[in-house]
Amino acid sequence: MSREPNDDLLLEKRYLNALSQGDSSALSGLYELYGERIFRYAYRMLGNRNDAEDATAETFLRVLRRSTELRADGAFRTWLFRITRNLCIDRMRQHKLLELPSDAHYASPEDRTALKVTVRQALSDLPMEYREPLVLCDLEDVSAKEAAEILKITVPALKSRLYRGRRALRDKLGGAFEKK
Amino acid sequence: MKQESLTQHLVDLYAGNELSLELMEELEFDALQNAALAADMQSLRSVVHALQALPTPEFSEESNQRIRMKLFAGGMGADPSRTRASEPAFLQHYLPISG
Repeated sequence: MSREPNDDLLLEKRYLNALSQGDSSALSGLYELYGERIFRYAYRMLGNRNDAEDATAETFLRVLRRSTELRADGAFRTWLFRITRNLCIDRMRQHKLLELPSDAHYASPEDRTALKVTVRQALSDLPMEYREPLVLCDLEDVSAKEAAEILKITVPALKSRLYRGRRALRDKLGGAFEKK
Repeated sequence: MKQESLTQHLVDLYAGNELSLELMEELEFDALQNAALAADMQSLRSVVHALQALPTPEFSEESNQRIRMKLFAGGMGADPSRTRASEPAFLQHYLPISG
C-alpha cells in the first residue's frame, strides 16, 4: 500500500524532530522514506551501483551529522537531493580523473533494448547543465520548482535548460526519432 | 524571428505536456499544414517518452542492506521496530522445558 504525500510529510516531521533531539534511530525512518528515491537519483547520475550506494549512505550520514540543525520546514527533501547531487558531482570528478567504467545496465536483461541503451548513453553524454534537469524532471518526476531549488537556479532557467536538454538529446540521437 | 522562437517554445511545452488542451489542439491543427512543425513536435515528444520509458534502477535488497550497514557503521541507531522484527523465531518464543 502506498503512502500519501501528506503522510510522508507528517512522518518526515516526526523523524526530524526525534533526530534533532538526539534519537539517531530516527534516521532509519528518514532512510525508509527517502532512501530508494535518493539511491535511484544517485544511480541515474553516476550509472554505477556501488557509487550510488556510497552516495546514498553518505547523504544520510550527513543528515545525521547535522541533526541538531535540522528543521521540519518542508525543505528537507530538497536539501537531501542537493546533498546527493553534490556528492555525485564530486564522485564524477574523481571518475574523470580515474576513468572508472560505469555499469553497463540498470535492470533486467529484457530492458536492455538497443534504443534504451542508446537513449541512456546519449543522456550520459549530455553536458551536466542539461542532464541534471532531465534526470530530475523527466526521470525522477520532481516538480520544476523543486528541481530549480535543488539546482539552485530559477524556475525559468530550469525550464530553459530542460527544453534545451531535450533538443540536445534529440540531436544526439540523430534520426532515431524522426517522423516516419 | 520572434514568431519562430514563440513556436519553438510552444513545441517545448507541447513535448512536456505543459500546454492547455486548447493550445495543444491549436498547435496540432497548425502542424497539419506545416511538416517541419509536425516533425519537431513529434520527435521532441518522442524524446520525452523515451526518457520516461528508461528502466528504473533497481533498488535491490542487497543494496538496501549494504547502505544500512554503512549507516549503522556511521552512527545510525537501531530502529526498535526493525530490531524486534528481525529477531529469529527461537528467540521470540520460550519453549517449556519438559522433564
